[in-house]
Amino acid sequence: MGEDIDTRKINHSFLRDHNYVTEADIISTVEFNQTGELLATGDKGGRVVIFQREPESKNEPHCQGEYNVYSTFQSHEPEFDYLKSLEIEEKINKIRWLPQHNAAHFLLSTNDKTIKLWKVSERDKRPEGYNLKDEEGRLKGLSTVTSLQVPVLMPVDLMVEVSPRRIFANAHTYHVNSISVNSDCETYMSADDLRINLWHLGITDRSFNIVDIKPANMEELTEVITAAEFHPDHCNLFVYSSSKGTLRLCDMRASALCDQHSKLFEEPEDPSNRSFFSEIISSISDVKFSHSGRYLLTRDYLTANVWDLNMENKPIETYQVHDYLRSKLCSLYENDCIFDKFECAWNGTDSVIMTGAYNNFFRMFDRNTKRDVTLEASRESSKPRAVLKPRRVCTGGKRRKDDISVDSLDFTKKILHTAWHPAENIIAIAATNNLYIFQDKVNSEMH
Amino acid sequence: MEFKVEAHRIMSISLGKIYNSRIQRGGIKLHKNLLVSLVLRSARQVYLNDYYQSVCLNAQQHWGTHEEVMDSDQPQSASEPAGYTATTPAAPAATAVSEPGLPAENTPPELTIDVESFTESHAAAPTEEEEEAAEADCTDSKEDKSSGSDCRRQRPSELKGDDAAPASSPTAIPMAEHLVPDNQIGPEGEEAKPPQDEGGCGEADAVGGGDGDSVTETQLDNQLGASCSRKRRSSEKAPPPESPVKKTKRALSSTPTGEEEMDTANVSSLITIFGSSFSGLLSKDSTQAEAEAEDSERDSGAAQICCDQILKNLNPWTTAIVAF
Repeated sequence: MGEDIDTRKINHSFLRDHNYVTEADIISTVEFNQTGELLATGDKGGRVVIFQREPESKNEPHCQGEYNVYSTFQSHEPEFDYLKSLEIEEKINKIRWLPQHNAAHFLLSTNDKTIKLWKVSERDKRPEGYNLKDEEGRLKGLSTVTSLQVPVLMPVDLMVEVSPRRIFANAHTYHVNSISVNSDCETYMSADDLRINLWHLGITDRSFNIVDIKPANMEELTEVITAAEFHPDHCNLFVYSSSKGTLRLCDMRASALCDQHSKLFEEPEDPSNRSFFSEIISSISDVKFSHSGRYLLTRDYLTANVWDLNMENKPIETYQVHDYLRSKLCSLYENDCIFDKFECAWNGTDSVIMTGAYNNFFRMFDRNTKRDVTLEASRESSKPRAVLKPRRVCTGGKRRKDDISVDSLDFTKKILHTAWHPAENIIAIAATNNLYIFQDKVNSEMH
Repeated sequence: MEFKVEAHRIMSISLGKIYNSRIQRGGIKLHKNLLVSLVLRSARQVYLNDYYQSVCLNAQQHWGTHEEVMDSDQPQSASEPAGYTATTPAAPAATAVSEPGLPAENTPPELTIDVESFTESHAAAPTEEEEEAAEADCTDSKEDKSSGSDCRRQRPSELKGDDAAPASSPTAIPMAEHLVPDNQIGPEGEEAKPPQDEGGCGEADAVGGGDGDSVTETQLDNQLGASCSRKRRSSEKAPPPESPVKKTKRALSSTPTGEEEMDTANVSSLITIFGSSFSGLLSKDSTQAEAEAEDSERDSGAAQICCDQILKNLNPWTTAIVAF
């Protein structure tokens, strides 16, 4: 599978020196829209960059489907909460696209506290021939107007305009970690560490609290919400994951406050693996519904699990992402890597799952063939149109050429954010401040 | 034992993380701090298991000769191993990560309060264990056990009486309660109740103290082997008079001394983590630390309290989980 991947590399035009990474450039979220035509990335500096896929051209079959920068805008600014003397980071935690209904595109972007709805629209025509204004827009003297003309629309260079349409603020005491748009296209939810709120896209001054796990006594706090997502088809169902490694499926028809779950997905802990850090590595960092809506994909620190909605007591599939780190948990705790939150992704047909790891490695697991591959997203190993070479981490035993030993892994190079095109085999990988977009060669040959 | 050393190391790392989280941009992350506190708790359990197993072993050797005196003097002494299985505070799973909670919701405007709030709330829940743990920690060689027992016994009542002005946080209650025992040598010692800058202690968790008493009374056993090697919070009162006494006591105590020395070494490493401004240490490093320590800054004081509290509250709520 990995051998078929063709590679394209997209450099952000605003990147600086490759070796020195400004923190503001670190990509913090990646998301395709529903058609895959647009790809949005958010970074720690509060900026959003949208890429658009070039339309395929029959003349140049190799250049079809490249993603180029479509628009860049500053979504969030750093703020200061004077009441609590806390700085609110401008880092974009999540971006979610709304289903498209007209020519404009809408996306939700959120930082720790505030969610914003942005409208992205194109303007490629401009009215000309006003009667009362001249070309620069200045008012004409009335005496100079001798005849009337009808303004006409003239084509101009494409301009992409982005404007904030809604700002959903002041609803979260804790840090927002997830947003998810409902399949009804009217509502969406935002989840912070202890609460989940339901919003209407058109109403900014009210939200409904649908989950609240804050204990009456904060000293009794045992778990927090780590991710939440709506079911792709059933507008009443959503799931949220916790730091204890549990998933809760909730039905909004059951009650207004969904503290009682409809289903609880939890795998009993294996006592033989118990260590100081068992709780940390069991914390779920991401949860994604499959496109079919039948399965759930979760990621904790060392594994990715596929759950069937109909079976709550254990996942149907468990994939070891980097089990060789299990013996290094103490060092990873010291350097804070154990707190890294890796995301996971389904492919369009729900047959392959993908997630990131360290050393700029990312892994794909084919659920049907049970094959898996480790690939690297790096400047050195990726040239345009080069085929990605599968990598291997050597864990002792026979060491092949080009294997990487566990001790030489670079833990500062982590792939936390990945996205898969909803229909085609195109993946977007965020490696610190670089975005890599890889395409399947097979895919391109079909056109 | 290597487990204990490892556990202690992990505890100090965890405390450092909690302390550093205060200054991180974007506010205190609830999730991360919750996980760190869970690790801290696990490490503490292991540490205590090892620690008090050895303490019990040593104390049992002396138990026969000193039994009478012990009973009369220390009704409150609680054995750690017995203690933690018997006591279950309100929240068995309390990890007391109120640090982000408090700042987020009831915030005193200063960030420096956050750690205190955290430690205070953290301490508030298992106050019963704290008392036991503190008692267990108190140096009490066989020869000086009377003073030690007085130390323990007087503590709750004295605390309630001598509470300093409460700090900004209303939950700054159990601080003094737990700091004082370390300072008290007994009747000859000063009423070293370092009025805490921030640890208001007013109500001194009267409920907690009471519960502690009742609970500890049910415990028998011996803290005698344990030695009071905990750092003391910065105080205006001079610790030097106590230090020699402490040293003497430690010198007199028999077998646990070896472990105690190791503990103090680790304790001093904790001090370096939290920076200077510590004064009045109970260990023999105290003289050095006093040299380093300047005024009592709230931050470091808070961190020390944090360290103190957490190290002293060694009673796990739940069944002991022995790591690896």
